[in-house]
Amino acid sequence: MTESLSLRTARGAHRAGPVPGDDDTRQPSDAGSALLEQDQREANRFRRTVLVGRIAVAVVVLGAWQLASGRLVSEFFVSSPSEIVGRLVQLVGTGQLWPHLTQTLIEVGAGLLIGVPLGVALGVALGMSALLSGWLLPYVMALYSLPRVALAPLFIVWFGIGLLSKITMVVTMVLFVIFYNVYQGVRNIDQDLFDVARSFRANRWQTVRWIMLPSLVPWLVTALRLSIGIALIGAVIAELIAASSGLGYYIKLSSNLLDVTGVFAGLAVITAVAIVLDQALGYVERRVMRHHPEKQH
Amino acid sequence: MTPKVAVRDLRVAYRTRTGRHLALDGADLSIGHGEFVALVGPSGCGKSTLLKVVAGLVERSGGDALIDGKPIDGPSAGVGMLFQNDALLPWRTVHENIRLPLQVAGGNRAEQDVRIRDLITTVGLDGFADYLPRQLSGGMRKRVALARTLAADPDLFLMDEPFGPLDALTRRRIGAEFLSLWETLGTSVLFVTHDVDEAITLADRVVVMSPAPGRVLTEFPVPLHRPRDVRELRFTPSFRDLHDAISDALVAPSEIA
Ligand SMILES: Nc1ncnc2c1ncn2[C@@H]1O[C@H](COP(=O)(O)OP(=O)(O)OP(=O)(O)O)[C@@H](O)[C@H]1O
Ligand SMILES: [Mg+2]
Repeated sequence: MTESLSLRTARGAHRAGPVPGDDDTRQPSDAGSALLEQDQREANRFRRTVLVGRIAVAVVVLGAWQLASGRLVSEFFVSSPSEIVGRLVQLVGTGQLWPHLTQTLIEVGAGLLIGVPLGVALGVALGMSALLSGWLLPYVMALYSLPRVALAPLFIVWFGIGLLSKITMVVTMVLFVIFYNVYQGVRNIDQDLFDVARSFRANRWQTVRWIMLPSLVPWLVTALRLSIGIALIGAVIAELIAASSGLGYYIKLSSNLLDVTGVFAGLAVITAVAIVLDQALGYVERRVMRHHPEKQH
Repeated sequence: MTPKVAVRDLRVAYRTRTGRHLALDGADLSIGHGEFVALVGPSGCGKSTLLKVVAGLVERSGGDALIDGKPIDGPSAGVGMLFQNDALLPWRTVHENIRLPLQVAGGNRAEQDVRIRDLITTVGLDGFADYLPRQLSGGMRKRVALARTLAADPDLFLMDEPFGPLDALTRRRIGAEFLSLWETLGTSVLFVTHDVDEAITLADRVVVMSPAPGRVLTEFPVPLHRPRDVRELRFTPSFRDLHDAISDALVAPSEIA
């Protein structure tokens, strides 16, 4: 391939002669698109097989449960899928579900809204300053390894059985996961990228915005995905201990009334919430990771 | 006339966990305006360190380092650095990577786009504007890094083995392209390389450093006229003589040790 460099910089125009030898200025081509299509078809077939098997597993397990219930084990202890579905329909129909569901969602949402920025700020600060991390890291790590669910009773004493104690619980659960990931992320940023920004005389804010935050995106997405599950655990546990509404409260109430169907219905809703949130974040993650080759899950 | 770059008795001692590590001990170097200087030396002798001092990225522990007669204190305007690895932002496309220095400078995005498209043509990457770095070959990534440095419109290039990890053919090719590009720019260049052939082909002067802690041992003017024909060059007798002399200078100190 012959080709020439044409130069139009601020200093003037120039055309250099062709240079021999070559390879690395190939043009983008769509050769091999047939192969791509075949790969696509095979991938689709595989996905379908997986999906069918997955549904079969659910059918078998739920079917076995349904059959065993009342025959092998007393329905009082294990309820049954049909009972649980009936209860869910009733909860939705009478509107009884919504106050509990929204309560838990608000706790999780508010906890994430406070805990995530706090964790990011803490992670960035400690990641950037050797002095700050020298002072604080041992304490942060000690708190990190503490089973934080054990703090729930304390928060209830401090903040009552309402929203505040639950949000505090969620924040403490989320904060450390986010912090730890962001801290690792900051320390893993390629020093050369900072040098590039510095050599172009980017200021501190530009460096944070164009180098640091984009570098942290994959870490943050991972951390966020972990946090959602953990936030849900925090909220439900705090509700189990003392509350007046929420999905955890509904489970505890049902259990006090020896209503196993109610317990399972509550668990089903929590599972559904977890799955929906996780799928939503998984979607975001895939979109973001397409531009982030350096850390993949 | 003050030289573009003047380095005198430069010492750099890196702080390490166990104390100080002396990377440069009394290095002297001067680069004239529009001069192309190549720096060769054994691995670990402090070439990158010297470059980073001039780039304002590493602080000196002693001696002087000046650009246009002014002591270096942080990265200066008009200095373009090409890093040993290409240091592209992996999440940005070719086009957006080149935008970085323009973005720092601020200004109209549409004008930036025009300039970026020009630069993409300059480095021969037409059609690849929307590719991500990982979708490019090593040689193409070097071109992007070069375009990004060109975008800042520097009058001093600092190049740290810029074509180092490429295969011999691609390296020679990009080197030749850069040479013809540079011959129209007239900027000053400090070019670190392991490759004596590359040094002679490109530079006006080849500076040889000692093993660590680095200092400048000798230097060789390159008596080859410009513009240079890269293909003919390496078969001329003066090229061969110079090559042998520089190679000897590089090997000599380690024989003593
Ligand atoms: N940030 C740093 N902290 C501590 N020591 C460093 C640092 N950077 C470089 N050094 C040390 O300083 C010495 C010179 O390093 P430098 O990178 O300048 O060498 P170089 O000549 O560029 O080597 P190469 O040819 O392998 O790239 C080496 O011994 C290296 O280990
Ligand atoms: Mg080096």
